[in-house]
Amino acid sequence: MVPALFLVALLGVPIANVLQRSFDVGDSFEIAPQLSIAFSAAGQALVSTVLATCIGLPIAGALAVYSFKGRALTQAIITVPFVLPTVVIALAFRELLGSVLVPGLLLVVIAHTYINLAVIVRIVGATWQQLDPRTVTVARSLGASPFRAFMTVTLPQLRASITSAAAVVFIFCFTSLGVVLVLGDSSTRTLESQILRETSLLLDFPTAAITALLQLAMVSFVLLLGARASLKRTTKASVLRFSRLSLTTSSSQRRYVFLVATAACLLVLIPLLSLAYGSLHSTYGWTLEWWSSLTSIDSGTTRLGSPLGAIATSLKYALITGVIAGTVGVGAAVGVLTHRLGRAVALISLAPLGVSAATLGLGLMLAFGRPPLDLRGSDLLLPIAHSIVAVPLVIAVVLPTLLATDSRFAIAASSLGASPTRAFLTAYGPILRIVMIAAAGLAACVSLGEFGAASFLTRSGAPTVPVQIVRLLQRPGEQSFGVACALAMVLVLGTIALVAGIDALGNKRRTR
Amino acid sequence: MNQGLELRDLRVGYASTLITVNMHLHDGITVILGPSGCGKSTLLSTILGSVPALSGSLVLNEEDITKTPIHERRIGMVFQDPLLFSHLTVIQNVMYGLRRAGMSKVLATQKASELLEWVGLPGFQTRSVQELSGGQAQRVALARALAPEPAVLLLDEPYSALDAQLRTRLATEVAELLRSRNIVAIHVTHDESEARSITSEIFRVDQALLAPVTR
Repeated sequence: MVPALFLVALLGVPIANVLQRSFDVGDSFEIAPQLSIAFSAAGQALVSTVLATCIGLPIAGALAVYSFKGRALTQAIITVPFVLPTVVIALAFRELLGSVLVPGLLLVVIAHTYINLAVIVRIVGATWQQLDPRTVTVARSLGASPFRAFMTVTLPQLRASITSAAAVVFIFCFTSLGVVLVLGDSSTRTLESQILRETSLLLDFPTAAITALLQLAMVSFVLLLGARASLKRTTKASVLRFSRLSLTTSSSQRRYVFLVATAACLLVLIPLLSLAYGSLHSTYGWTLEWWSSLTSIDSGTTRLGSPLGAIATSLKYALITGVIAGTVGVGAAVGVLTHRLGRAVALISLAPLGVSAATLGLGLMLAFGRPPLDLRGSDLLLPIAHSIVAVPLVIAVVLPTLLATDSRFAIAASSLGASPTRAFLTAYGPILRIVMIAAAGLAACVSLGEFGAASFLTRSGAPTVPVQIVRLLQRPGEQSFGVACALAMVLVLGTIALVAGIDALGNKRRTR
Repeated sequence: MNQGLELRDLRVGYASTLITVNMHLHDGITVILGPSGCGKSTLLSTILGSVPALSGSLVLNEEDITKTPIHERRIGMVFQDPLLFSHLTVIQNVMYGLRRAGMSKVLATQKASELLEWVGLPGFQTRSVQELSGGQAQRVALARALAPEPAVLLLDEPYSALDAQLRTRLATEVAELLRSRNIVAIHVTHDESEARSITSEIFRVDQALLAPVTR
């Protein structure tokens, strides 16, 4: 319960500050424009979620069921888009498809699908790899075609995690900011972009607060559905451990997995390759100028600070975020599992998903940017914001794994005289060590790529990498764009290394 | 007419456990004996169709099924674990194959109920599979495998997780049930006493071949 209460304190104070402003709204206020934006954003989020789920499921299945060379690398590559700054991805798509598609719904949906594939693959894949592949063989032997066996045996067992993952994706798309700003038009506005517009352009803070409240209400409803689904325990038949199927079993399976893995990697890599191209190319041909500019103080773009300094700042914040969010997130997941108020803990812990990054950044700035608790000079303000953003993700990844662990080991340990704590650690200790490392790594990845809150809270002399990239992009000129691409590529490569490292560590521990 | 299941120079397994099999099964139960890891289960998986044969052919009732997909082979299998579909009730598990064969819900329910009665589990229809004991779950798995009336039933050490007393009793009972229905079955086990309690048609995996066991 302590981690959940800690989260309430961190989240409650800034939100209270924002809400306080909502009471200042004038008599002329009308809710109709906000509702219209909310419904069109919900439609966009629904289409993006369905697409991400339909494309993500075959990838999750191939990675969860089959063992093949390059599996860890494929998984790492697929995770990359999710942790990259949304603005960077949006720019990559604009570069890639801008000549054939005008800014609007289609581009926004494509980018959202791309970014959220990893959520489906990671969350659903975690459950899928716990299912015994022989149940599908049984269904096939009873006359079910491969598709029928999937629909009647595999899918029902995945339903809870699919619902949970889809809820998360929906919320990300519904509260999207970076993608909508770069790739959208007036028809693709979200409540998040509306909040930004009301605060930065119209300076109408009370209306922005009410818009934030509306967003909170809609997101909370979706969260309730997702939390309800994720609380359903996976069945006993699913908790046994099975090795992945070897690819030597059938040539059609080999073809299927090769096709899915290759398509997934291409899908992810093509936009990133266009970024790489941008970092190595100028109007005069191939060049390393943009990369060498990373080491210079101002890269020719005065008052921006060193790109290398931004990398150091981002790494420092990612480390602090990993420690805070890893501890709070895993603690909250354990609370959901063991505390009698587990359902309440789950709801509290997932609450940050309902609060947009911009609202959070604004709220933290109002709450902790002035006495009596002025954290502006410390290195804690942004990691706190990033931790609040990362905790729901940590829980979404950790909880299904803990729920799928056989609790009978704890009962067995208790019957042998172990104290409740010792019995819990006996049953969950080995898996807990793995998920804590994975959770901290995931939170660090979130911190590296987060833009919304960072745009409010980053210190002007010490920007994070995403903020630095946007600052560079706001400046005209080929050099700014090239250095931004190079900086984005540093983030891409660092993220791939981090995710592959987490996976390798997890696999190593699992085989012990 | 060459009815039954023929294994013609069927070569199965992996590098360290290769078996070549020539067999013709007409009716009744045949037991295959052998230590763990000798390739017995791989042989069954190949007959089922989940693992491809390295060479040779499988002929069922004069039809070559070597390349036929699992769901079109009409071969059922009961594994070491019951592998019941945990999201379905007991009767829904038994009805699964009947529904895939296009049988109406009413008829499938009726037939599944009869099968549950036949395996000694009347009144278990609406129970969750989580509530079943090991022996009960294995009986449901057997009823489920038999429901679509497979031409051949494969039993891969189906009682290994049960205690010795229950194992012997269930093995004998199921063997009698299968005989009463004239079902061709291959039962794999590493327990010789269990094998002898089932049938006298016993083969042993010996030096990469199947050899008949004499009393």
